Amino acid sequence: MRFPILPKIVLNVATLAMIMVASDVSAQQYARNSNLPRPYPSGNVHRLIPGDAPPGMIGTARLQGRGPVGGHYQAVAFRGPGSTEFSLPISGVFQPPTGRPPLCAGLLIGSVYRFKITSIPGYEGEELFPTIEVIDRTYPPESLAARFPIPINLELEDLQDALEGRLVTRVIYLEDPSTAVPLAETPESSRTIDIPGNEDVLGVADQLGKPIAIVRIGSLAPPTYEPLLPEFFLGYPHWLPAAIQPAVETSGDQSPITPGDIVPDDMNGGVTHSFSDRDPI
Amino acid sequence: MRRLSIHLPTFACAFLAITGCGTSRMFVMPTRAVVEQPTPTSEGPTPTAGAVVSPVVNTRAGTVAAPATSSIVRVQYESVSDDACQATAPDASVNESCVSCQPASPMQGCPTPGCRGCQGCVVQPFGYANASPYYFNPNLLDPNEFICDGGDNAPAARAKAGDQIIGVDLEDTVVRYTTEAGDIHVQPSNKVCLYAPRFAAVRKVVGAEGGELAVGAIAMDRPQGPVRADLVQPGLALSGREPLGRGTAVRGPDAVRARDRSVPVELVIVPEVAEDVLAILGNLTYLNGGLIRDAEKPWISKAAIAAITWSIDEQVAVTVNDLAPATLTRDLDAEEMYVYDFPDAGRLRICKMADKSDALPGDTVTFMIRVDNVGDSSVDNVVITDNLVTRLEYVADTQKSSVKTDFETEANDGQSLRLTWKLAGPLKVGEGATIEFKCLVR
Repeated sequence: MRFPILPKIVLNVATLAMIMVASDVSAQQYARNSNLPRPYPSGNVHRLIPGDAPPGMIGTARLQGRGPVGGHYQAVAFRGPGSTEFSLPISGVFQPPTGRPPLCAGLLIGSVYRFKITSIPGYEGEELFPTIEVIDRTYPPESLAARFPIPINLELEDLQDALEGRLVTRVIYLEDPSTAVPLAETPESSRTIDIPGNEDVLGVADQLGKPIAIVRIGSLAPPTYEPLLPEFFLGYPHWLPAAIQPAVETSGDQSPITPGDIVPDDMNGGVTHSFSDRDPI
Repeated sequence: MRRLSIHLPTFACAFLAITGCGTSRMFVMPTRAVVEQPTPTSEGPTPTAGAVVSPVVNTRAGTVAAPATSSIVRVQYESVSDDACQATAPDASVNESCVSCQPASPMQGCPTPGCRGCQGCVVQPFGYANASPYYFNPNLLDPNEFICDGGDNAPAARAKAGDQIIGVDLEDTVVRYTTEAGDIHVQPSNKVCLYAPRFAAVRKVVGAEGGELAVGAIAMDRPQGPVRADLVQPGLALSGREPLGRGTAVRGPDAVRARDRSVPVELVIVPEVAEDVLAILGNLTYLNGGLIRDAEKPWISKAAIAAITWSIDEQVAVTVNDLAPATLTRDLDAEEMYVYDFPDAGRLRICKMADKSDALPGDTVTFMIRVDNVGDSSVDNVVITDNLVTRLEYVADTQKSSVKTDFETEANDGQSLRLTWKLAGPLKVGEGATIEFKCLVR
């Protein structure tokens, strides 16, 4: 049986339309029925908040996101090479350096702070005015916030590049312990990963851990035109001075002993004790 | 000019085939859904701590916690809840009910935060501020800021023939012992967590070349990659992160070829296969429409053989190459029955403690592992194993124990060490052993 005669163009268009609709319907069916996890996007991906965003944009987006971050002062510790000194401003006036590294402060999440670097080894007399934007917070247990600040450890290479007129962007991230690098470190050491200019620094940090602060070093001098100063100081956000809390000193005999147990001789230098509920531990 | 002629029946069939109309909707590819494997117990719904090593189903590598809709009740080792096991963790809620949870990376958000923030559900991370607005930290704790050691993460540790313990992954601390009756038990310790966040940085330097119209990044004269690292790092074109392979390999049917008699086996493969086949068997067109398709005949024949196997009472039998298993008949005469009267089994309690609850990178932490025989008979062949995580580095020659032990170390997958202590003698009722060692927090 022959199909009734129709104009050829209309028939072809109708066929194409039906095929397109059919493929879309089957794709939707597959998407609904498929239990396969969606793949991580690679390529053709446009990140909503790129790492090259101007200061403040990422912090503002974070304040609109999840979690109790608004109004929280996150402890931060600034360290630099050698005799480098840091100072933060109050109402546009930079405070004198404390002379006792590191500089610790509590910074609001989402705000951008301008700070000053002086006494750079080999470049005494030069000044830098970087910015720091805290974009996330840590959740230390009670009373440990001052002992575990976010370490902002700047290296001499960063300062040299900035003094030569380049823009250095450092994204500090909280490392994922399951993929930790097996290298021994200290709070003063800094492990840095360099990426080329075409990569998104925030995206790379997001893959490695939780980005928590962004430092942009490049500004060499504040503006002389006074109406620009509020913009230079990014609105004079408030910060709190802080000091790193030292560890609580523990006495030598700190093995947790349960009441009623007898400490074996080997563990206690040959002396046997018997603890009861009356004995303080 | 040729006219285009279409054969209507052919066109209609093609249309139906493409759109799927008029055909069965059971078109789903059998996918390996993330279904939690139950752990059968020897008797009773609730396992007692230190139960007999019974046929267990090997959990698949990479499985996450059971979804909320799963009707399979997870049965696991009962964790010791004695008061003696008060670990110096900063917050016990980190450890509570999270024995086998995967800590979620902060990059991933879960629409329904469960298990106190430890649920490892996979959510598409895209962009920094695009995470699910429903995810937040209800307990004000970030698991990534803690280093934990102890407990037993999935897959569960268990004893194998030949005095081996398998399933001891990074972070696990278990003790294996043998009772007087000859039963081998594996008991995990409690989990001890230290607050020890570590930070690193990613740097990008951008400059402009003067005198040219094109502005771009200048050439770097430093090597690309992590600087001042004595490890060979991969390239920086990060398009995806390879997850660390830590899954226990699943033993396939080949593992049971050597067994040709029905004896208690350590790994029962049949129930596992059944779980996977259900997705296929449930979609047979025979069940849907009463028709048998040629493509489904192998599955039906497999199910038929399995039905024969399952119908044998009180026997564990295995099919090899689709051959029906041999049945074993036994005759028990009352006059020939032998009754072995063992005393109640010995049981070890293992506790792990740390002398600090927080540590900066570079600090040294002292761990103590304490095992006590709280059962009713002595135990022998006591082996304590502690698999350190990457960020804990064992300080050499700092271990000491209260009893004579044979101590050895071996490298593990996390660039750290797996510590093993083998007690020389048995532990009688009421006796115990205490082990101390120091670790450097990297």
